[in-house]
Amino acid sequence: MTGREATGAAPAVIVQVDRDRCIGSGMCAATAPGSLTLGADGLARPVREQPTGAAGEPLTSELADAVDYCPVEALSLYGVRDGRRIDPTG
Amino acid sequence: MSAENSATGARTGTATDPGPAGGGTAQAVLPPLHCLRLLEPGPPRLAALPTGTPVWLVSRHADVRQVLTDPRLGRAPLHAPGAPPVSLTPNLLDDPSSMLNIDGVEHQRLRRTVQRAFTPRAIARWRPWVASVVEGLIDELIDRGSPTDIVAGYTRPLPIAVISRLMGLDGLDSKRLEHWSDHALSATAYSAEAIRTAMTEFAGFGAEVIAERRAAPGDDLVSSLLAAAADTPGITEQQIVTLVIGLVVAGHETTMTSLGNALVYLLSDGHDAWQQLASDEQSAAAATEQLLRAVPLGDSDVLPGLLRRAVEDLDIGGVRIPAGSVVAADTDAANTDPEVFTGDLLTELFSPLAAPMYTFGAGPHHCLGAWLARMELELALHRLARRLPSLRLAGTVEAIDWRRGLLTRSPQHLQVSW
Repeated sequence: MTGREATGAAPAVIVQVDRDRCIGSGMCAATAPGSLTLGADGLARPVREQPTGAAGEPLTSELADAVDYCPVEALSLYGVRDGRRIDPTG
Repeated sequence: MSAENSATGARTGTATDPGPAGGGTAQAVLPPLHCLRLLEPGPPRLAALPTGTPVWLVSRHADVRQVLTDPRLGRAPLHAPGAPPVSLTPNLLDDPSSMLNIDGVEHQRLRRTVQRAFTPRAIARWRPWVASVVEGLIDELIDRGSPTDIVAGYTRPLPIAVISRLMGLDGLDSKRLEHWSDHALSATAYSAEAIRTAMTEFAGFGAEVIAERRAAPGDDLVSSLLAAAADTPGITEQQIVTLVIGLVVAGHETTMTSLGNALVYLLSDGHDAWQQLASDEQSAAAATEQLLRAVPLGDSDVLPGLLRRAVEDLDIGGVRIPAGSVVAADTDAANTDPEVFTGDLLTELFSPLAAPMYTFGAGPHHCLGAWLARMELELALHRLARRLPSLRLAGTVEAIDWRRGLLTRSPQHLQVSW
């Protein structure tokens, strides 16, 4: 997995929701409630909106699962350090 | 393929229909699906289901999205004790324990056993193989010669071949499958007793397949869902059986319907587009989205939309909907809402959608097989147009023999020539 520290700590990531693709399945909010939630419009959004240069959040297994199970692949993860897209399924 | 939403969003024929294969008596001429007169979008309005149960018809694009994504509206409450009847003759879609009819955490737990096999990337891996099936069927059509029935030779066998391969059902008897599918999605074609008998038999088939895969797992969808279900507490055996047979039906029926009705349009009113459809896969992909949007899967007189029931009072489009109300999201009306979609198929077939379409639904029950259905339709239309540029209907649209009395409507036979 890109960016994993030698210590085994989860890499910090920024999660983004493509709201044009999102169909509001709620799969992500149920899988990773600490990272994703459903907005009043029924579509997913990150719990913490991350400005550029933010510290991000740890790539937990729940978050990786949420990305993996999204029915329309509307979620993407970017490494905080290098800005590269991370594919949790490898 | 439409495991959840689109099968229930489909509409049906009239109460006097003798059955999906038609009968000996004279039948009303039905318009092709792309010519149906749809509900004019407006605020939610009260109507009644064929059971007499009052139903709020929701038709505007934004309101339909709300109905499909708002957690205050669910599928499970439609089948809760004391719920008003929503179907005259219960079919496969009325099983209260099935994935379609549970909500929330319970629904997600079951859906996760199959979701990963249907993500866009997982489906894209099948593309070369599906293309080879498409080419093989076109070879056979050409060998058989013009004129021929393109339903028997193309629109029916393609989705059956695809779902059979995904689920490892090689050698599945297509006559038996047709019998089960027609009963599974029957509206008025069959008696409640006939549907029960067919569904019991179909469940027996599902249980056999499950037993086989437990004894000897393979790399198919049934084996992978069994492995996932074994790791998930709380999933019942009946849910697994219903999921397996549901995937078999949903895996081919609506794709066959959509492809058949798309061809009716493209070989009649929409024929000018046939050449461009052949030019590249991107054009075919855009056309597929527009056809899915604008050609309904069935008629609205038995089921007016995707049904939900309110668990508490809520507002939809400025109208107060009391707790306990049954609500129908009319996706066909929303898909042509003039506030959102201004063009028609003739002018916009190759343009990107102006807004999301709800043929596959939205929210938790968004059609599991949406990406598979899209891929099959794209490849089927593009390759057919490329190989048979002079393809045309051999008869008139008025003379089409429709499958009647089911939740979906599509040609029973469609004679074409080239």
